[in-house]
Amino acid sequence: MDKEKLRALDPDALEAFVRLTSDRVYSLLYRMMGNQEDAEDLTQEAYAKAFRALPAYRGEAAPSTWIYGIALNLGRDAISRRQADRLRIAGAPDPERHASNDDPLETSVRSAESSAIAGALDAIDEGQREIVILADVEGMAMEEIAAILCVEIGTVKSRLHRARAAAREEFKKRMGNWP
Amino acid sequence: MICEHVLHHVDAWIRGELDTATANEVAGHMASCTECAREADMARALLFGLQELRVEAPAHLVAKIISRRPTPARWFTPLRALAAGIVVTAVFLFNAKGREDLDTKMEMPMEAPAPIVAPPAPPAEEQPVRVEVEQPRPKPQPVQSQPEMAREEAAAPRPAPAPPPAAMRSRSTDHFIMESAEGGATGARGNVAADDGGAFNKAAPASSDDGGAFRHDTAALSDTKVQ
Repeated sequence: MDKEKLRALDPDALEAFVRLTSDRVYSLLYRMMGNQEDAEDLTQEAYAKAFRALPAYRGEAAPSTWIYGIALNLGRDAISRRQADRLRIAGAPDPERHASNDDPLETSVRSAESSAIAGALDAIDEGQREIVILADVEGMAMEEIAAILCVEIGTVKSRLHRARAAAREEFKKRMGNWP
Repeated sequence: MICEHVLHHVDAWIRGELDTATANEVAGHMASCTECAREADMARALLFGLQELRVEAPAHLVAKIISRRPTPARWFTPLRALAAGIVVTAVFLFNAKGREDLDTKMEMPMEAPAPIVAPPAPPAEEQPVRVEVEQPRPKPQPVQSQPEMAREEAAAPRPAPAPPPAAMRSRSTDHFIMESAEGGATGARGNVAADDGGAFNKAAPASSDDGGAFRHDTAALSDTKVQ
């Protein structure tokens, strides 16, 4: 991606940028938020924010890394707001997370194993979920994850190790007498 | 390698992230330990399942985002930059000329304010004598009033000075009287005239609360001024 063209808001460059990155942005937000509606809203918001900030984009990180970072922060903010709302109704389950059984994305993972995996991902804490999504769902390299999270690669490795172990434990709990 | 170490490496092993030596050790252990092999199978299933969780953005969403991308700001094409420069220069020159005109106006001599015309002097009979002596310092006064008053006083027969009420006496009047009596050398003392005015003016009757002294001196001063 040509950073200069992006900074100049060249329409073709912007379209290519959106086409190249939107799947990951959406997928990341979908996994973070757990429902399609929030993911779509936040994806649009992420790009709107990026378009506004592009003229001042310094180009230190790759444009894709930059937009994933924006999306991640938006997802975190949305989760914080949602958790704050949920705290007002103490003990209530998160109604927005995978709320609809008619969600076409959920129907595709409705098998026991897939449900257990999705459940395991939801069960681990927020920071661990972020890093598992980035590494194992989106398949990002350690360096890119480090750039998105603004931490050292060693930190990414150690966090990812703990997050995977936690996810595996949750998965085991859900699968019971595997195999 | 014991099971604990193998389990520590199992996630990295199934992702191919271990160095060759460690990977071989783990693989050797897995071949002989069903429990660790089971853990590895589970980790592998989790990994594949996670990869399947990846979703694509809906086409309508992508189209919407693309349709809302901003248009580039093409303000600084050379022609527009030139036009902008001309406008800025014109505004600057206009402002500079405005300031110049203002400076020119400021340098012009200002017209003297119109003199304040004093109201017509009342008839001489009604005008108390003390009006003239109550001016302690020669302040700029309307030029028309002073000569008129002087002429009127010179022409009119002076009535016997009536004692003004004590309330009409002012501090400035006392100050003036003392200056006159001491030959103008009592500027500082003039401020205390209300307290020692009676003592200072020997001719004042004690019972008249300085009013008498004031009147006598006033009459004497009036005579002096008229002459």
